[in-house]
Amino acid sequence: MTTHRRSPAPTRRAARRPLRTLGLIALALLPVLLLGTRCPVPVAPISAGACQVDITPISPSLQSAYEATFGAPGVVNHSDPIYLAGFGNDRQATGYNDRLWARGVVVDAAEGRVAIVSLDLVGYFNAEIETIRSMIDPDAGIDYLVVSSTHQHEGPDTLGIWGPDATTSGTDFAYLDFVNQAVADCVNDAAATRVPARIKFDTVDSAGLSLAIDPEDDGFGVADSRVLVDDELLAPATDGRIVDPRLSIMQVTQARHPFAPIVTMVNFASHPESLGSNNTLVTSDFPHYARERIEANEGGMAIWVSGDLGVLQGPLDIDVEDPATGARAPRRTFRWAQVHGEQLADRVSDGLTRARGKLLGRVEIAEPERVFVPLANPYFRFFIAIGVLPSGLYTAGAPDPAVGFPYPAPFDVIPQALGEDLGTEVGAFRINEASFAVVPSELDPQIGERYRARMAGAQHTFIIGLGNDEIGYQLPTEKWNDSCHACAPFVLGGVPELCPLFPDIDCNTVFQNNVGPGVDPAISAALEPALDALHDPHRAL
Amino acid sequence: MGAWLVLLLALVGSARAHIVVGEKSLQQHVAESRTVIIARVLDPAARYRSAEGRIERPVLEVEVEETLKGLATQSPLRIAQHGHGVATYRPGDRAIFFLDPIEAHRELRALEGPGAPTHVSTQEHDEAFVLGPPDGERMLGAVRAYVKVADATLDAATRTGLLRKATLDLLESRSGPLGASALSSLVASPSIELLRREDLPRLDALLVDAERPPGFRAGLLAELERRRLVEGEARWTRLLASSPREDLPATIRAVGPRAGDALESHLLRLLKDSDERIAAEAALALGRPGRVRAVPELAKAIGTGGPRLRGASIRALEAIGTTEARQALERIAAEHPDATTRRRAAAALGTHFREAKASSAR
Repeated sequence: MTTHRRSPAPTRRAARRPLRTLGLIALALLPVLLLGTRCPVPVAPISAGACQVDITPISPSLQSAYEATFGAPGVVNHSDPIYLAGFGNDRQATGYNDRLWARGVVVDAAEGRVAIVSLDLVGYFNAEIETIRSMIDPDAGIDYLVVSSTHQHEGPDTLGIWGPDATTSGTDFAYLDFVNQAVADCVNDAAATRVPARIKFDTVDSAGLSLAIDPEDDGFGVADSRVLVDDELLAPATDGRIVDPRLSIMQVTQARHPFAPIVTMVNFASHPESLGSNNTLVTSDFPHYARERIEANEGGMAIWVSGDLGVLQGPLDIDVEDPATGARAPRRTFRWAQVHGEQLADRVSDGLTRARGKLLGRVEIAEPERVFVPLANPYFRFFIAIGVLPSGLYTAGAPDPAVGFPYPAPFDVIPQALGEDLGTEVGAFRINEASFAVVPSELDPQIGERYRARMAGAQHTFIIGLGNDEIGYQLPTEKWNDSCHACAPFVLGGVPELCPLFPDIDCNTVFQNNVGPGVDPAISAALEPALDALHDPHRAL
Repeated sequence: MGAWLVLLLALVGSARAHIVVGEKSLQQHVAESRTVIIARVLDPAARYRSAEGRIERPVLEVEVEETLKGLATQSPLRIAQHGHGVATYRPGDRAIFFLDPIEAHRELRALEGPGAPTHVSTQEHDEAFVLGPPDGERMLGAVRAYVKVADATLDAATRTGLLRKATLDLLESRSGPLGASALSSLVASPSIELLRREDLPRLDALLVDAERPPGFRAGLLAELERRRLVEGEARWTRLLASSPREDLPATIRAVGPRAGDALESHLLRLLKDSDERIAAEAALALGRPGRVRAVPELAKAIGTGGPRLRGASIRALEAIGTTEARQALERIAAEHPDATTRRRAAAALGTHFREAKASSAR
């Protein structure tokens, strides 16, 4: 800063002073000019609010079981029977182990207000989330709502494909109406009850949490049960098994001493399906126990958000040690789920920094991007046409509910939904030093790493999977194997050995039950530019 | 060939999965497995341990009774199970197992040494084919037929005859999964004459049998229609009319998407049913694009019905998507005495009709 000194009379020296002052100012600003935009970005005091709503399905026949289990009256919100999602058809709920929740946090800082809600459900379609958005009070001021499903496999069928049989939907739409209203009210409440807050982030991992005695278990507390072609080249040390062992953590606390936690949110890439297909009790699976332990350890409310759990990361092929016995916990039991959930929670608490969170912050939100994914799977088209899966196809960006009979006689009575694409959305946002990618899919962690690599400057990265939709697997395009579709006539004709691709016909679920090879290109084409735009390498905070 | 290929691609049955689009049929299990055996379970919870003791995994130990397909296997046999849902067995269970050699399995082929499983079950998602009454022999007969049709020396007529008998046997079984398996095979084999007019009396009995799942009955009727063995909507109306009252919601759900004009009239009557569940399912079934005739009745149902019926009717109006439907929703959003209903109708206007409006403006 220069100071002008008053001269008794104008002189040439005096005339040079403004120039010198300007020169000094320019010198002071030179580093800023040279470094371009390396100047502080706007920040503001952070405020945050949390909410939780019980979304446990309660049918007339299970109402007394709910009350007996939880000691609280239950209001019926689901018809009988409750078809459990995630494995096969006609698996009906017989009772409860723990409740299912919608848990959310609203974070407000400079430039934006984001709401993140996690549902203990197998998945939730974008159309329902759009309904929730329309039901949120405009005064809540939410700039971006993310509703993610944990993808647990022991809750009600909210997608339609686990009904009494393959051609009858298992969804109770009145239950969806209940959930939509509950989530909207939850977000309104969280926004309205915001308090000054601090926010901090950390990243730990799950290495060492499982015993590595199963050949599919590398000790990361999650196993990759579907090795794709050439994955052995990418991960030779584990014979191609690739998992994402990150536990990404966001903790929001009160702004003032004693800085009590309001919310601890954990992002982890593992299918919550440890109970397996024989269980008939409603449960949120191991996230229930993880949340309980986190709340006991930290205080406040815990939120579990599933990450890039795609193809196919989960707990079914790992073993964990029961601390009570010193022996392996029996698989597919609630005790196993408890042990695993608690060990994940303890890993979070042990690793989480105890430094105070930041008081000031910034929320930057990339405009959510509508994405149209080519629907290549004609079996999906059949199920949409007969109403098992909800309609919601598009052609050239416009809703296309048309159903037709595109095949020549004698096949001309087979209905097919005719829209070309599924419509979905992707999103991304930043909160201070953390970055979040929101994907509608069960994302393969190989792609997750690609997205994280684009979060330049972020110290902590989150992948919110099954975010604002559920469209199934997203695997790298180069891993797509078309043999199952190509050999379908031979397989169905009972002569697969006549297909030229035999014996290498891979009809595993990740190919047979997949929207198509266009998923990754479509999602990535929308998300990657959004991530790039959101991550200015010169951003300082 | 092109149309045939497209059709079969359209109708591929599938294994269970995170996103499940139908059970794998018995025929598919046979076709996709290199080995099919009948075996008795010795130990459902045996364990494999590697020589150095570092690797352990549960395995199924069985005594092979008969090899139906593939090379004869050793006995006892150790089988690895893999995937989402592991089928559970009891010692002594006699069952059919669909297997691949373990070296074909990318995730498990490293298992070796004494006691290592030699095969992996292709039943990835908890399907157990235990042979017991009442349908065990029926199931086994079908599996034998599916194995036999792969014999290249068989003439087409013999092959068709084997498949036809297997299909009818499975359709007539009391087992839901076996019936679904047969339907799946039917749908996937449109050009094979698996059903004939002479079979109609037997099949008709299945259609009106209220003990059978509604989805099965609707699927069978759809398949008979597809094969041009029956025509007209009267049978759909009869399917609804013959359903016991407690099954009516499920039947409406199974039948509704196929509704033509005559069935629509039936659904409009059911919309006024005193049982709110039945009325709500009828409302949802009426929710198909362009179904203008249903709009006034759905609007009326929102005015007079309980919360379940109101919610279903709003969804139906959203799905119908016409100007009339929109106007009905606007009135509801403005005038309905229940705040939740107004909110829900406003949300429908705020989302789906916004999109429809945008698309019509293009």
